[in-house]
Amino acid sequence: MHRSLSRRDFLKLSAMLPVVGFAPALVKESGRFFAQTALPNILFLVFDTLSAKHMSTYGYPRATTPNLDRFARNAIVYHGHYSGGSFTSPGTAAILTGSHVWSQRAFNFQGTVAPEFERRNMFRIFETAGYYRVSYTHNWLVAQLLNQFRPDITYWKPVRDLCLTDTEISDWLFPNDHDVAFSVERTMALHNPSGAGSLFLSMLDQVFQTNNKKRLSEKFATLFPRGLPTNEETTLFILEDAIDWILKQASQAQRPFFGYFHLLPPHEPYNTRREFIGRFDDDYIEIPKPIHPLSTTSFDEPQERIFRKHYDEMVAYADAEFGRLYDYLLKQGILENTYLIFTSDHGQMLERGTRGHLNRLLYEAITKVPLIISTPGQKERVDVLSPTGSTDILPTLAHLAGQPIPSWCEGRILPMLGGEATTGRSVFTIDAKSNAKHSPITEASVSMVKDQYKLIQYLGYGGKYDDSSELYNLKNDPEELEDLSASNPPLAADLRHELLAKLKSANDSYRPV
Amino acid sequence: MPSKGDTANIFAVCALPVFLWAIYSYLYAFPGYVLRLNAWDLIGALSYTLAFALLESAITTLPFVIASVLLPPRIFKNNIVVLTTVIVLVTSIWMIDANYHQVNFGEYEIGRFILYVTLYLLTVAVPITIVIRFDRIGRIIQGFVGRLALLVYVYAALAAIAVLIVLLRNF
Repeated sequence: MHRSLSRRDFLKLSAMLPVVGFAPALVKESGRFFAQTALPNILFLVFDTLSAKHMSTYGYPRATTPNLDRFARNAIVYHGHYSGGSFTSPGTAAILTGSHVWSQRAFNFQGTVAPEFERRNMFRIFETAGYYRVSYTHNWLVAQLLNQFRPDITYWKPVRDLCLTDTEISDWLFPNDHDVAFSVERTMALHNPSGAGSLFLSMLDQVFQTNNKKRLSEKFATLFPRGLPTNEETTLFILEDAIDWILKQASQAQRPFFGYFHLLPPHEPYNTRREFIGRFDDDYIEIPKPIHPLSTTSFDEPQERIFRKHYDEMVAYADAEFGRLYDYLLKQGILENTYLIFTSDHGQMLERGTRGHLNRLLYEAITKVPLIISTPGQKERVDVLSPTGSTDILPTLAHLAGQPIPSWCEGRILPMLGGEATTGRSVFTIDAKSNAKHSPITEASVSMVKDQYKLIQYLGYGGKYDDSSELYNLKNDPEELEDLSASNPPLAADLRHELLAKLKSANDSYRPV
Repeated sequence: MPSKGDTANIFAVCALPVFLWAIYSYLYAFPGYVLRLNAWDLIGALSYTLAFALLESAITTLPFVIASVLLPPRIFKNNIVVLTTVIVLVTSIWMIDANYHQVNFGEYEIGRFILYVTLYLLTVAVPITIVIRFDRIGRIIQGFVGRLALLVYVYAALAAIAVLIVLLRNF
């Protein structure tokens, strides 16, 4: 029997029409929603100034990184990973842009990337992929870079928010001209640790900052007997606050998220937490090495031993806080759908008469940094021995986020994450801080690692170091004690030719915008 | 309240060492700036430096203007400009030395700080006494400040341009 459509039925059907009309859009959006929630989170953690040589994870005799050792058991450990630069500005810029220092040009102290690289960064790639992008750093030099990438970061937490003191004004007063304003503030205006400040107000500010520092140091004296960790002597912080905040982001941030967190420890001063002081009062002595002629300091071996011990204590403190973060992520099940990446922007020289990283030397202590990556739900350790570089991280993350590798990117996808371990590939670290940003690089130290060989080329320093090289076989001589450039001149010449050709090509092709 | 002319003179006296030191600071940092800043950014860095110097000059001027309002006129014996000049110039010499040697008063123990302040006050008190006793010296200083005040217009113009550049760079 034919049943006619009642008025009620007709009205019901009519009410369905908008739903039918929007259905394709809804299906598309829900597909996108589920696709995004299916995308893995990326938690990218950088500990500043961490040398792989001082990590037990990489064979250091002192147990400096037991928590990173635990992490490594369920991660990919890259044993030949090299920073892009010898200090924060170039090293971090290489990570965030996937480009060599001679391309992105952040090789000066307080350096920033060239204008054409401001939109060529890791955050932008994740923006395209629909990620929530969050970032924090203790380090003012990193903040200068992040400020350039600010439009591509969903939430960039100000440095001061996780510090105990607030010493900068240019970031909130002049956010649109932060680079120049901060340079002036740092150099002249109020709190310059060396050189000229303003005539009257800098002295007043110094009194205020010093008294504030004393007050806070006394307050935390039980926990930090040597004084609080600090960035440039006036910005005091405790690492625990940053780790607590990162824990919160990991659990509460919108999914999928990309979090880039660049924390200062174990950067000097080595004001470590109480329980780590004296931890390495042992008999361990490093292999003595000659003082390098280009060393800008002249510490003797007993002094170096003390610095090394204090540095190791700071590494252990940073490792303990990493352990706290790692345990939380494990317990909450966050690592089931998250890539956890751990690395550093550069290492630290505590040998050859040199302490620090703002020098011209590019030995393994300063160029070789940790890179440990766990994939979602990874339960086994994988070791990668082939050389990799900081510029490789961006293309790898792009690949993991399902995005195309940008044409301007100079790195490669890391082995075990979509890339292949190849032989014959050259990985570079550069120190060129004395060159003008917009001019060819003529004064530099450049290190090139190719398979087991490492060439360190010195250029433009005058005298013997105007154009000279050192060659090491890292497999047979990991401590870089035997310079092979005289005993194996053909190999040295080949590698040198390749390095200089690369530099020449970079110089020839760079045109300031 | 000091007259407009006196206020301008006081400002000129305060601004002179501040601006000179600011230029010195800029030139000190210039080798680092020039490595990585382009021409417009170098102008920007100078503008921030001069704009801050303007602020610092105004802040330095304020205590003297306030003192001249609050304290009885006979204290200054109508020599507010001369006395300010002496105080500012002596203080500037001390501050230049402190800056150059990276003195941090915050690290001074109370005894050392009192000694420093005592020495400072002596070096201020002696020339002030001389100036008050010998009118001729006061007149010479007044003449110097009068000519210096012409430079105020230069400072003001440079500082105004600097502030404009700072605003332009930020908005």
